Amino acid sequence: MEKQYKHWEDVRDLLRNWREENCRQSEDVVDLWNEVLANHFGKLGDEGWLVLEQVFIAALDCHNMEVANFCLSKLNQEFPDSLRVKRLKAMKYEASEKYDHALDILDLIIKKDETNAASRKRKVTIYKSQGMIIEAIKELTDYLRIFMADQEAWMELCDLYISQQEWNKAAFCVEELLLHSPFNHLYLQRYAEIKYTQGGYENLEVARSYYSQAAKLNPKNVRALYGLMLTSVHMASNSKCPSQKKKESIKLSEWATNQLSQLQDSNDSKLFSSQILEGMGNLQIGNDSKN
Amino acid sequence: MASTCELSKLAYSKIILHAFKYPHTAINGVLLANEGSNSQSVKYVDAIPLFHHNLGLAPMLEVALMQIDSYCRTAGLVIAGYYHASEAVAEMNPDPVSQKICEKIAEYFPNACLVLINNRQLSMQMTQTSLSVIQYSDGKWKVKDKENLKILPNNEAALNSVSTLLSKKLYKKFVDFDDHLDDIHQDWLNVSLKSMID
Repeated sequence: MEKQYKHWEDVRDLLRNWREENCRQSEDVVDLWNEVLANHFGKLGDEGWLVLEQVFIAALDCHNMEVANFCLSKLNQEFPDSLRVKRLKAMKYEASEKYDHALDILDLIIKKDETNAASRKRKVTIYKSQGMIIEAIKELTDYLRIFMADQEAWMELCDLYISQQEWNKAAFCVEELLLHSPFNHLYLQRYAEIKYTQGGYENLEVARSYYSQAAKLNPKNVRALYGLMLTSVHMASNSKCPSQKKKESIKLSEWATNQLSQLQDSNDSKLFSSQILEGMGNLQIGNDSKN
Repeated sequence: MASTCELSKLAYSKIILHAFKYPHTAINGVLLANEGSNSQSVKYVDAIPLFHHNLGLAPMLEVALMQIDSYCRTAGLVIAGYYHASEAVAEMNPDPVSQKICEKIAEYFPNACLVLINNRQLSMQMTQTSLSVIQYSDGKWKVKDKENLKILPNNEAALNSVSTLLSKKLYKKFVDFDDHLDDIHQDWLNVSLKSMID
């Protein structure tokens, strides 16, 4: 984004990339549109409609209603009866905090097309925006009863449960994700984090094994390495831990520390095992049933 | 005599930059004061941004606090407060996670302050401090009056300074602890930004 005058084809490719990877770069999208792509819209062909949708959503994110309105009117002109465009209208109401209007439109869409997953998910976000987390959770669990394979939804539900400190339910969501993708180191790490936060010696053991698996799958996952170090040290200093496991834990924590120092590989590192291990006892925020 | 809560320009700027970098998620961070500070009238000289994902999970929070504590000991500082911005734009109350963390901080630094960002007052051209402060003392949370929150050298100068930083989009280069965990070479102390802020 540092280059001031990008060629419109490069911008088009960049936006396509961001669309495919579902990146949230709203400010950049709107800037690139204004500076470059808006003048070359005619050259985009059918992709232009996807770009308009992307710019519309980015503009709403930045509360740039002028650009949003422009995009929406062009889309509406081209696709007047489209449910997809109707959903975008609902998003515009959502961005203006006119939640009732937004909900009306979404309910209409769902009535017309019960398989419309995206509209159901927008209802969840409307509740979330208003801070109505319980309602959002209910809406999302109803959604997941129908669309059980939606990983993004399970992840969102997990986040909602974490914000409500419902650790068991959050763990359940990650378990669903792990069924879909058992080798995803990020899901394994997330599961370990939830277990660790729950507290208790058994959960600590579970956390350590999930952190180990995550670190094994991706030795560069810094959170997994730190987690492994934390859990190993806690286990080793816990009276419930049998001596065999203590030795194992100490070895694991040493391995994790080495991996971290290799990743850091510079001289002014602020990390370090001695400082951290020193501080270990003092700052436990999770449930205090660890010791 | 009401106790005052002062924020240095550096601490304030970092809070605002953090909020601007991740406008779509909740963010949090800790506030640092000089060692041996009088907890009645606390002056926060720096802020360390923590997370923008899953603020409620413990392990990375513990790792972060340990490293910050380590840093504090070398710099003669102490963790003395906490700041938080909610995900929902209208939310003005501290959530249970923030309270828990701040209570923990208060165990070591009595009367720790929890600074909440008022999302609605944020803008590219800052005209209001956009902060509200509650303080944990004697086991209770008390809201501090606006007059008892000061940004140094004075509110107007700080607001102008921050607005300049925002117009230069410096928040894009800002690093929080989550960013550091994603890429271990990123500096959560934001040393390079410090000179630009002063």
